[in-house]
Amino acid sequence: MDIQSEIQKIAARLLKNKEVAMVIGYGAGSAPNRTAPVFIDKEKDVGKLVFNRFCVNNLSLYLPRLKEKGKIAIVAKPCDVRTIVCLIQEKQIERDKVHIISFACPGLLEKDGKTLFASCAECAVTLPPVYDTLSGEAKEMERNEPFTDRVADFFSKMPAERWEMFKAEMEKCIRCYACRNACPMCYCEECFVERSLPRWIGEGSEVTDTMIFHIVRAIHTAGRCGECGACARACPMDVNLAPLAKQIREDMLNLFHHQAGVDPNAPAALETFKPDDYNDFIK
Amino acid sequence: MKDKILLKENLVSFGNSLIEQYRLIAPVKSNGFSLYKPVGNASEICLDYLRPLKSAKEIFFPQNETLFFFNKKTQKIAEPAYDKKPTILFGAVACDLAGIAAQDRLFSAGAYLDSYYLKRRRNSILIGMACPEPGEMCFCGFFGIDRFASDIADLFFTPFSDKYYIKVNTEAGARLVESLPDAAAADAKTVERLRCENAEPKWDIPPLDELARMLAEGFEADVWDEIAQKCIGCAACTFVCPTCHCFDITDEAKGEIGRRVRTWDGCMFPKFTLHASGHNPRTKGGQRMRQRILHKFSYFKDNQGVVSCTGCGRCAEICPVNVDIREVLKQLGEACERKS
Amino acid sequence: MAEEVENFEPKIVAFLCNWCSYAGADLAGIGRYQYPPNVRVIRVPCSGRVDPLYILKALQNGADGVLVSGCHPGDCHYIEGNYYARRKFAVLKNLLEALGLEEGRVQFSWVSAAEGERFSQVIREVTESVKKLGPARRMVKSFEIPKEIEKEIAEA
Ligand code: SF4
Ligand code: SF4
Ligand code: SF4
Ligand code: SF4
Ligand code: SF4
Ligand code: FES
Repeated sequence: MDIQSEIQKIAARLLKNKEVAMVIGYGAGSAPNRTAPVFIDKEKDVGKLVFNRFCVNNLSLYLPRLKEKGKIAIVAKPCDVRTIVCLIQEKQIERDKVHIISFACPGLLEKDGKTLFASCAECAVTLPPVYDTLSGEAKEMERNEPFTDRVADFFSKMPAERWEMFKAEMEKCIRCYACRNACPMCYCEECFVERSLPRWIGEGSEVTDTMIFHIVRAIHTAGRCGECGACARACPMDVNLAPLAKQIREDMLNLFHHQAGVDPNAPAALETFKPDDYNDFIK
Repeated sequence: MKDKILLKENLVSFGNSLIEQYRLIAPVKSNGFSLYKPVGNASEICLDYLRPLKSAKEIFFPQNETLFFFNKKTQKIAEPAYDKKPTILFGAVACDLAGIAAQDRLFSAGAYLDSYYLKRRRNSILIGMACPEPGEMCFCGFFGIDRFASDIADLFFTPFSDKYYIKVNTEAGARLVESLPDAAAADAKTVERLRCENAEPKWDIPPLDELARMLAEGFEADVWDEIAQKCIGCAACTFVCPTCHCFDITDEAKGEIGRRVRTWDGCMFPKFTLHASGHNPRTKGGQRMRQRILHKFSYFKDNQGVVSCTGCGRCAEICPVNVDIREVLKQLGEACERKS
Repeated sequence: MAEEVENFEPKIVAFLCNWCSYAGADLAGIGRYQYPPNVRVIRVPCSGRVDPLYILKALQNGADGVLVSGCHPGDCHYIEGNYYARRKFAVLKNLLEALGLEEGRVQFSWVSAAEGERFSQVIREVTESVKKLGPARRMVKSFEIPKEIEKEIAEA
């Protein structure tokens, strides 16, 4: 059975047995290459659940805000599961209040339906690290589609040029904060960019203010980012956030040997330390 | 005023002849999408697109604008110098022109004249461009917007075969195309035929007058929460919208020197209505979604005489969670039917 | 321009932890160890108190360099504040340099309360290296206030 029908079957069962109060999943979008989050609380509606390669959102962002509903089942790609694990670690949700429906992920496609998302092409965790029910087989799926590498060119440049490229991307940003709002790990009730006492960054889109937003957000997600790429996909202006994400990911791995949300028992990299951590950069 | 003809192959030289005297803004493609941007050479203009990703509103109502600089110690202020070179907006599509018309109403409504908007707007010429085929998310036709004409444009271009048919609407427009050959009666017919062939599809949305009634009755309906459940509150929809005009005013200072800036705001931001007291009258996503829809289809219409949605479909296109305004209206209609 | 760089005296913001580096600075003063007057000291309870945001704000407001200094590993008054800080700083420094900010705009050191001479040495080194980089431009916020306007409103 395909992933979609299994998801529907599992959802029907969970709702029927009242094991969960709601299933969060993907529904049909308003265009063939889109999907939209759906919240299903009646067994008869499970037919609305779809799964295809345009399931771009990370639905775990809805878990903390819906927790008063009771136990919730969620359709989660392996990368989304990583953020669920982080949310549990950070005590935003409880493990026994969420039912994870996952699967071996085929990777997502851009709106053209042909190109693999760069984050999916580089995905390190294509099988869910944790789950309650699995739809389909736990077998790695091949991803043969082409993708656009958005970091190689950047990192091949000299610092001054990199800064210019970074600045050009920042100038594209309209500061809608969709990237942040689409990210399950950016659950702060009040983000630093919106604080007014003190006001950390200007309201507008002055470029250094925008830079500070993105740099600080990248640091705030360090060691907690599930690399789902939902932030980049949410951006209406196609701002290239990949170099920031890549640098953070490499540091987590190389300096602290940490991959977020893969091991529920491993603390987030910046929440812990070792006395003999990397110290060479300090005088 | 006679209508004119421009050969497509002469578009670049026509555009360049404008650049000397005007700041030319036109759709330019970069990174796989197009945006209205100032062009240095008309060859940069890209008309092979649907509609630019962002609307044209920022030409007259920029996302950030310094209203004045101040010095805290001397208590003196000064406005930034303003570039007097007139602007030509070239290649604006009908939904954007309708957006400008809506903003014109707002920013020059009765006693409330927005000098910042008007100094730019009054010093501009609009050149429209017909949209040959609506995009997947477009529904301008629902509002009766004609993709092949616009009253507000000084000139309106319609491409056909290897030419543009130029409808001349104003004296200012006429002066720009004086030297071009007049359009023949046959050309006018061809363009008219094109327009008829592209007659309106049917829309699966409650008609506007019915919508108005539903909105009036459905203020407290539960459906708002349903609609807003997936919304992540990014307000990107309001930023790309050609009519959204909410703004915030803040002061920024460094030492003694500072500036007062006006920046876009949007009712979908949870903090949009946050009071200084800490009270927020719109705490729920449903209330915010209702504000956006009601402002567009009810309040703006009551205050300014037109709905402030032009059917450009940009909000639907860029919404990260696919909140599609057409679906929203449909859902509203269904909810009202359920009730009655 | 060349002259500007030659006579350039950088402004350096130094976040010093109260218990070690700030005391180290004090000791440098008592011991009359000379160091360049380019640093503007901000006393913080612990290096762990320094949010990366503070460092970025200093750069945005025109600091040519930022130094964060705390107790040596193992000596933090709050036992482990500097260990957490070290991880954060490593990430910040690598990220800024990956994005193309000049290496050396942001620097870190461990200086104890007993190391007055070392404190002056660190400040000398940091000042010299920031001087070599020249005035900071990349992260500095501009109000784009035209010179004439700035002058106009400055006159009473
Ligand atoms: S960027 Fe940082 S402060 Fe803002 S929401 Fe994300 S984690 Fe919170
Ligand atoms: S930062 Fe981006 S990639 Fe990482 S968890 Fe958040 S949305 Fe996903
Ligand atoms: S989603 Fe894109 S445009 Fe919006 S704030 Fe993030 S990077 Fe900027
Ligand atoms: S773009 Fe979509 S998610 Fe963002 S505020 Fe608008 S409706 Fe909500
Ligand atoms: S209230 Fe909302 S819908 Fe109305 S103009 Fe402002 S942002 Fe747009
Ligand atoms: S008290 Fe000095 S680093 Fe913590």
